[in-house]
Amino acid sequence: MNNVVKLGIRMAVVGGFLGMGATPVQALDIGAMGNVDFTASNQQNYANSFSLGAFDIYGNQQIDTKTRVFFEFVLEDGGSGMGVDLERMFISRKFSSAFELSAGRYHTPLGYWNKTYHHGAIMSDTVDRPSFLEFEDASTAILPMHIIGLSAEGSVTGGAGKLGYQLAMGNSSSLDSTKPTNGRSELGLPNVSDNADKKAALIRVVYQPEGVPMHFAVFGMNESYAEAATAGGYLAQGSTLVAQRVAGFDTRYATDKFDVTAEYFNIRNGAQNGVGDGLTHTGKAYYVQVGYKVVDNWKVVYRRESVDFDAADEYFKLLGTEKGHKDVAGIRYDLDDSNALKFEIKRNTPDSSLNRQSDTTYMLQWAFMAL
Amino acid sequence: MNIFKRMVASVALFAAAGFIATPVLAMPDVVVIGNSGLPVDSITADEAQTIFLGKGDTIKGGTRVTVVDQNEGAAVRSEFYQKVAGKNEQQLKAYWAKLVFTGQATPPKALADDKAVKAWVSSTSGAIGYISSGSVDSSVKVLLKP
Repeated sequence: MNNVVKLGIRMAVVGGFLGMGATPVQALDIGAMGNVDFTASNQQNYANSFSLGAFDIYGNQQIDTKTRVFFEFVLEDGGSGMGVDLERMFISRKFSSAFELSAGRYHTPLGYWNKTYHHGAIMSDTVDRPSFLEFEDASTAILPMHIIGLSAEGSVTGGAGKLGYQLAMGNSSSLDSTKPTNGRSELGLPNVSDNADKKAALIRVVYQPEGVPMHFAVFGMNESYAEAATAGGYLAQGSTLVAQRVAGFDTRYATDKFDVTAEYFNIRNGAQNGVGDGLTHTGKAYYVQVGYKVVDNWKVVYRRESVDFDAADEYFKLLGTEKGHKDVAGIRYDLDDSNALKFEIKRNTPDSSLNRQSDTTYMLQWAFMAL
Repeated sequence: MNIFKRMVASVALFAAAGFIATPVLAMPDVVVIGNSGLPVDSITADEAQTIFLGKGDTIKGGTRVTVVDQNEGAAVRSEFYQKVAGKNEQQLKAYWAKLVFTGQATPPKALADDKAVKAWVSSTSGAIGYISSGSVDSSVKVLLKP
């Protein structure tokens, strides 16, 4: 083949490759959210403090008419220095309103709050998430709020309303039974491997009746927690410590002035042989939150949250979860669409079996978004 | 004329020139247009707000529509969202940022100007957009004058 032909072929290949690039429908949108807090408490030895909340940077781009990419990373100081976490990163393609496929790291469809609120304090009316729905590195977290894998979602609309679904499947989580984090374990999310080789599976089905500003959803999760300890753990690394099934529901009614949201979780943990008592235990958690817009930019909020489980449940023992309930009362003032002030009082009441006194925390938060 | 008087005169002259030269910008009358094949001849302001703010994608009768926006900074865009949704550009950005961040919706695609919007709406079944009233022609139908 002579050199001219070879050159022509090379040019055609390069030109074809360049021509295959899709033209973005929109530019990359970048935004940031953050908050600054002041916290005071009557807990013993508590130092009233200012703190930087998670600084959240996200990007979104519609890369063609059906496909978008989204990323979100967070800079935060959990008390031992500033760290960076890639919280979400996914690509999704919307084939129709009934089917959108995504791949990457995203929030588990466990209830309404976790599907709706991510990092970014300005998004929610309260200073914090419900304690048991905190992210995996928090001391009160009890379920994986993220997953790395595939998801499918969509909805169909008929005369009676809209029926939607969310399916998720991804790497299973892990626990280090040597409790290396201040005497407790943190839920481990493997971004690059599935140590237990047992995928987590989740489903959520949502119904929104026509003409009524509310939804009702049921959800479920099948999850296995693998031993993360390389030595000294209950089992060999990668072995299943706990097989878990979660079932629950969430509902919300919201108008411009008033909203009420409730979620309930039933958590069934099957400890494997050699893990605690090796038996199955069931715990539950729920919250109910009510919000009322008093006047234009002022909103009052109240939330009751509760966690209860069998003291012999090794899953909760590993996490160091505390049974009890919390009452949160707060007020939010929107200075404008991009920043808000929140004041909140949180009363923590440990279960009587723990022989600990209640404590009260006061929080003032200035939350913002930058676009 | 001493130097000071010349300076004052120069400043006054430039100021006057600037005032005269500054055009008085008239806000275009914005209209909502639709593809001629749509089975409706009008939509309400509430429907316009619903479909352009990503709250739904159907109009009366259950007709599914696709909306198109205009690029940020276009005068007709500012007027449209002020009239239909009561939002200025910054408020609109914050609104969409929250929806995108929570995965609830994505903003409609944006085109450069009235001409591009009209061309797209006229050639796309179920399409709705907005343009200035002076750009309307027989290729599209006017659904709403907010």
